[in-house]
Amino acid sequence: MKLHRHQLVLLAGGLLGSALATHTSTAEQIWVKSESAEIRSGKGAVFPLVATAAKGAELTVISREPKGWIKVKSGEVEGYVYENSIAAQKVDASGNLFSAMGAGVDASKTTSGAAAKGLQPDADVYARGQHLSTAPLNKLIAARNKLDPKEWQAFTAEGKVGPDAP
Amino acid sequence: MNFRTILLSTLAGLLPLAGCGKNGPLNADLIGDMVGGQTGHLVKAGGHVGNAMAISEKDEDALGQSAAVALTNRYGLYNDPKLLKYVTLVGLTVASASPNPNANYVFGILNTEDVNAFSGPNGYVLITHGLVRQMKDEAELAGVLAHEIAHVSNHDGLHQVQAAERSTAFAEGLKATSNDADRFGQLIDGGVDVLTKQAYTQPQEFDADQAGVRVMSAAGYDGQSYLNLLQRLHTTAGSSNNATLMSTHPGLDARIQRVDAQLKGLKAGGATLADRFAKNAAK
Repeated sequence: MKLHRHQLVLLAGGLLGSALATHTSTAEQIWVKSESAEIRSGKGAVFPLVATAAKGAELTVISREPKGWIKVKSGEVEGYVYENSIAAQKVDASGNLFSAMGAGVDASKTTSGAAAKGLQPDADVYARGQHLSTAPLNKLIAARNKLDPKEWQAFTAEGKVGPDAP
Repeated sequence: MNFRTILLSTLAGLLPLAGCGKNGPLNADLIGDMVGGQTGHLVKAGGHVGNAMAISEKDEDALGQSAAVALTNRYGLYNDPKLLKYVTLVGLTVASASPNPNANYVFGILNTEDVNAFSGPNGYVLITHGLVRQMKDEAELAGVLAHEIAHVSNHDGLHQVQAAERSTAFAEGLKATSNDADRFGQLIDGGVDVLTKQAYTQPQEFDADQAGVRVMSAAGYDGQSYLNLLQRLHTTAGSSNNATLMSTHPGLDARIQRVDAQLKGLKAGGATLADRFAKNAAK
């Protein structure tokens, strides 16, 4: 069958439109429903934080992983969130200035390689007000952040315990 | 400052944290309040804090960290990096099978031979060296940590502070101020006070036991070990000088019965890892 030029244009346009529609429909968007959501480099609390997403932040799903983990992307940030802090519908974050500004995913407050958050300013204020030292808690946080995820994986495999336990 | 048990509220009476700080030892009245699931000294009546500002989920990290600051100052840290790493590895293992595997978990061992454990909002879990010494295998440790992690997942600490905030006594404890930062600071101070002085309610403890056993089993550990530990601590209490205190808070019996019944409905078996525990937690 011979096609005329205008038919080819229509066909090409149709294919392009179809491809765009397919692309749009596969880019699943999800929103943070809890006050914040940790985005980590791996599927588990043992893995370092790469960013914290505020309530209402919009994330693009890269893949749905087993046991409730979701690989997501937001701008330059890529990592894993857990399903309990995520909604399939847009979340009203009115009052949350950070999300209202359209950002919502903050990688600036995470320390490279750290799985646990550092001392929060409010906790520091509490300690100073009560004349208490933050050194013991900082020591625990540092010990926690020193733990290599590979060591934990070897530990669970050796004992046949953990998320992949039989 | 007095100290409140969270994990094993009934166990606080077994080996109460004696000589506690400037307010003296944990007293029998407080233990009675704790175990009975009644309100503590700060919460005596209904009413509401007369200010819109209140502690919410977004403040859990600050609250959990502040409580951890208070307790690590009170008792100090047990200095054994190998044991701390082991407790952290086991804690992260049970956390990975919990409904909240992505929290900001930090684990620690308090330098006291009293038997106790603590969980602060958003994942700050502290156990005493005395409690570790009572254990015989890794599954027992996993059970205790799973119980504490269940409190974290259930937001029990936050709910307890919010309940206290609604009380007149709590409101009266706040100094008059028009400064939001000062007021928030007072709320954190009051919240830490609640977390470190009051016990969870008995229903919260029952829920944490049930959830803890589910989680440790899901992580591959033998839930029977948690029951073994509870029974051992119960027996120890009966033969200790604290038997009188036990009579004021018989909650451990009910908890043992419930855990026992729960285990009958679960698949038997699982890892206990006594050798690995002995290697890492040598007495």
